[in-house]
Amino acid sequence: MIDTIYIEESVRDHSRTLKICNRYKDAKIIYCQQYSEIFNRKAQNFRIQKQNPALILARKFKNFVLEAPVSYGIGGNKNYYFSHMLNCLYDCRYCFLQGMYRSAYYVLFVNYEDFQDEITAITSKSGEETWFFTGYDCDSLALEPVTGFMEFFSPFFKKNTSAKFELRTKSTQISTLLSQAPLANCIVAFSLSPESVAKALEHRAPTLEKRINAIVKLQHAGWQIGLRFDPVIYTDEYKEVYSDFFRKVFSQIDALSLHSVSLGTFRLPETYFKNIRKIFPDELLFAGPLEKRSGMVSYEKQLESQLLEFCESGILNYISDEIYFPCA
Amino acid sequence: MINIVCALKCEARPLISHYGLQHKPVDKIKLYQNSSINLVVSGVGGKLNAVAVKLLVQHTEPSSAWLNIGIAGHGQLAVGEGRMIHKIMGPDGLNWYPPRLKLNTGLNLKAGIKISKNKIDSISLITVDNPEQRYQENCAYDMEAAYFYQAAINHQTSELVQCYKIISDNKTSPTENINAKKISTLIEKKLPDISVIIEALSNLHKHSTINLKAISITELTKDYHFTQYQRIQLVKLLERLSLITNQNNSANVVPGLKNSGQVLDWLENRIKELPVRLS
Repeated sequence: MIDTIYIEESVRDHSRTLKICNRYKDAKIIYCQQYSEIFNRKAQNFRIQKQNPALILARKFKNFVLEAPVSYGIGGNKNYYFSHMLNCLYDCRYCFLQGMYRSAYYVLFVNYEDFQDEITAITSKSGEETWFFTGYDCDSLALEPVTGFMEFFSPFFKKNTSAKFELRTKSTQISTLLSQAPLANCIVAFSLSPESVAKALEHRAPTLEKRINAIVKLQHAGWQIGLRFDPVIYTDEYKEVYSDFFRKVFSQIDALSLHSVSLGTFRLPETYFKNIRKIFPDELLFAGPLEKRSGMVSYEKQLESQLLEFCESGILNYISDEIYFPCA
Repeated sequence: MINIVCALKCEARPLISHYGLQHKPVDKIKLYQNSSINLVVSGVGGKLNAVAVKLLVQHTEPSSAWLNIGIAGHGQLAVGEGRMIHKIMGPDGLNWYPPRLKLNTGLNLKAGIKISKNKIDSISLITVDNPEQRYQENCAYDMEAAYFYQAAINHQTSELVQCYKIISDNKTSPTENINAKKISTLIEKKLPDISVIIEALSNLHKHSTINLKAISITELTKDYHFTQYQRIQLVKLLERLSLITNQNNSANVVPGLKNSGQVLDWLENRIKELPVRLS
């Protein structure tokens, strides 16, 4: 429940601002000049703020769409991402956001139209298939009832058929998607983890069972689904855990109609890792067999290879390698 | 530990009495304390308030929470109303936004004080360097909060730095009507709210401070010589071992190792042998 909303003066009368304020009638409204007066300033504690995050409504002025990291693609040559929101409803302990931001408040950029203009400009310049990923700095669907993100972007995606879109999510907020015909250029990509991993690390996120149910419903409705087994997590029982997990997932969803499956292990930039370990010194994940390599913290090389090979072979029992994309 | 900063002795008096704070003779500041609260009387004005914060830091735990309690003027609110502060506009043009403290007005407080049943609201405040006679609507005025806040967040995360103001003057009851006795009465009447705030700050402080089991390297450093770098490695390895095994292992190192390097290697190997789990 959001009980505090900070609003930039420049968007105080924006239609999305008014709609959100109307939804949270009891929230305290506090006006500011720029969201950076509140978000990510010094002396903020991500762990404390995560207990009761405020919502910040702001306008984004530039860099609406950015080139995606190299490892982010699923087959296309031109990959971009955009973030209408910073920070996530869920509290996954492996998430880089905890290390990137000092603040756990949600920042929602309400000027969606400006994102669309930039996507249109990029698409019109590009002579080839261009992918746009959402859900990098937030979960694409988790706050859908508040943000109306897909409600607004769906018609745009539908119109811009030369662009391809991926929504990355752990959410079961799929009613907006189910209320419309599936979009041929839109992939709904679910991040999935075994139950034991989700329980230990993916706090406040829907259970595996609920996520699978959401996938099944979307598949029945004709939506293209991506599966993201990223990050896979090492424990002593990983073989048993991930075998059972893949069996469970692929016994319930239709593997033949999947758009793509990707796989990656736990990894964080070293600076983010240091920040996260400082705020969660009691987290067992960070006491595990990790090492620094090329500015990243990840599992010791040998363990990482074993884990990846095992999971890759497990996944390829169920899907064709044409739709399999290992993360670099 | 909660550090309270008041500008005036008459603001502090009801708190000193209620919490049984004892005067502690220290240089340069008027400090009163019990086992969980430090209270300092800074004198009027933001700069004195900021200096008080700096000096109090030397006499308190580094992780203490901070609370500024004092009077303020307001354009609309009645005299006697108490409010948390969610936005501070400083005389230097900078704005500060203390994260809103989740206040549970139904807390089961210790005997001796009534539980505040009213919701404690929050407002914006302007800190001025000279007393303000024009009252802007919907805003409070004081002479300390911006200075206090900027000084305190140098020592603590902003969620644990809060301001609580009690309205002492407004358009119909100007500052001329205020005297020390009235100020003490205003504060005294708001002790139930103040107790709720202190309780909430204490709880947040407790839940936000994650201390791993204290790692003692004394035994090991008696037997082996560790360089400064090795000491850091040693603490890290022992913390990791302690977290994985859920017990303090520093005393369990097998005897018979020749040097500090072997101790570190032994610890690394010991950790590698342990099961990798998530909970």
